[in-house]
Amino acid sequence: MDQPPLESSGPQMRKKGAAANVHAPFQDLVDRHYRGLWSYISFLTGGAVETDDLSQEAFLLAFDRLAAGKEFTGDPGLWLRGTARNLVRAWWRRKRRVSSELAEAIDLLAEESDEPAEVLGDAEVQAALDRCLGKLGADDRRLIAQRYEEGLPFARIAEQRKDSAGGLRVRLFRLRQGLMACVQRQLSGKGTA
Amino acid sequence: MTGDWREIFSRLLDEEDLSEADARLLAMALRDPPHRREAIEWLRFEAILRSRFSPTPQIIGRSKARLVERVLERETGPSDRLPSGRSRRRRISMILAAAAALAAAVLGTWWLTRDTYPRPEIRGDVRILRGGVATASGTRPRRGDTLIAGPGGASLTLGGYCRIRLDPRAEVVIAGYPQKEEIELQNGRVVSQVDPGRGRYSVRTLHGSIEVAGTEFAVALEDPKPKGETSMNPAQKSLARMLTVSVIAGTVVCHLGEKTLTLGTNESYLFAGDREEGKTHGTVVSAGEKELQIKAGNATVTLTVSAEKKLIVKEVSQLNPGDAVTATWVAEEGRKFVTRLDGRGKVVGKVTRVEAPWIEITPENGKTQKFMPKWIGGMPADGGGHDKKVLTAIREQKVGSVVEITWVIEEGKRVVDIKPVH
Repeated sequence: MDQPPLESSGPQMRKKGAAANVHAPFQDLVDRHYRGLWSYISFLTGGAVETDDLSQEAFLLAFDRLAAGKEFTGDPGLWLRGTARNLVRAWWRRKRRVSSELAEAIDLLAEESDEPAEVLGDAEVQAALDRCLGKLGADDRRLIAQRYEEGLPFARIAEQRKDSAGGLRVRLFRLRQGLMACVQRQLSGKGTA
Repeated sequence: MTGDWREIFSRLLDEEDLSEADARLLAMALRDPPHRREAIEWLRFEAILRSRFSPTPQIIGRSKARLVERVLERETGPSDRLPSGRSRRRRISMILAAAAALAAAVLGTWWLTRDTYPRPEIRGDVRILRGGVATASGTRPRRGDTLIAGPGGASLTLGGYCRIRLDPRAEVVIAGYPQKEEIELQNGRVVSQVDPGRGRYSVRTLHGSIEVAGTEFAVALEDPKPKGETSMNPAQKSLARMLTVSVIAGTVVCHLGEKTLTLGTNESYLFAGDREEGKTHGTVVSAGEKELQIKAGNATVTLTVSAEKKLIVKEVSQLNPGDAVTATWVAEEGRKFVTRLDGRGKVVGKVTRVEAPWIEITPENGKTQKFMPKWIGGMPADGGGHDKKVLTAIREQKVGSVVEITWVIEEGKRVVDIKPVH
């Protein structure tokens, strides 16, 4: 299926197509695919807050397509994921200001990750993560909570802890590395409960 | 910094600007397929970690609601603030665009209705959060917004046909579509009144959704009473919350977990992860060995009596048409199985037999009924026995006299008061 341009600056209303009744098919598309696409984009952006905007952009492009009288043939989920990848690539380049060399490398990541990523809500994964979080010391748990639960920026966490932001970044990197390894062990059945 | 590409990738995910040298090192590392696979795992884990600390279904629900709002805004323009400067020009062009759309709209009902479709309205003591940030006083709510009622409560109108009363401290998110209105209940209790034939309406919670067309009903989401220390994660805590649906008038369909349940007037249902039960309040229409029919509102609800529940079988056998009862039940395979009966009532009749602790009375044009007093105080060895005061009153009755008996259901119909009728 044809994809919208890479650098889409947001959908514009196409009046010709407005006459068509796109309400029902669009609603159906949103009901069927929103959760899956949101999870996919969250995965491609590493859970960035822009996941919402990017998901909405993808669906607004789908809306434009329907309003222009172009129906989806085949799986609309494939079209949506392709569109999402384009939007995420553009996001890495424009919003995250990564160099074109790095952006190309990240493009490859997105291309190799064409899956719905429903794993986010997987109860087994979440249970494994809970067990691993339970093995952390109180202060490490607090650091994880400050970063992920309270969403505090490093500078703020450093200020609260009277520590250096750089030191905290390295510590959090190692914590995440340890947690990821722990979850993988748990899921492969090698972890201890 | 370590110079490890993983650490640089981690900083990139933490939204840190990378130096040229770090960006080059990372780009080189990601050209290597095994490194890319590892980076994909990093991305996946980062998203898992973030979803662990934020209730993803709620975030996705709000995001979806905001999408609908954005689709609508493109037609009508945002209306919560007076436009100025560039936004005013945009507004004018949007109005022209809307006028053009209106001309074409005769061909599609949605386009017609969306231009005139009522926007959400809120009154009362309420805070509006947009993207997690409090909005200025006087802001009009829109889809995707979170509304938190203050101590005075608030009332929300959606689509002109759904009137929703928010109890103090109730928290909802406006979701849904035009003519398919929906709120997401985050906390507290809301009472909804829906005009029939104007569109659909549902209340969504983490436990499921409650759909309705033309009715009045209440939904409450509350924390269970604490049972000592718990180590539940936010998602588990949310699911452990108690959801109560009470129908005041009409019919609602509840999709809770894997169960679909229809509730009518004077029925309620409690859903709390490890515990579920429904209640039907009304007057007895008929009471048989296997079935109990209760008139609740204008509808008759049929409940199933399981032969294994001996006490329920006994209590049902003592019921008479017109008795006011509340039946507690569990839903299984589309049937409502009675698990408990509560009720209180009065009956006037002639005493036809006295044989303490029993008293038998026969109402005029009614069937003979036998009653005994409540049991109080445990086992006989521990001093337990029938309510002495009522027992004495029974012994004082004379066959042929007319009395009014007040009864309650407590292991069968039990007499709690006897009064002579002159």
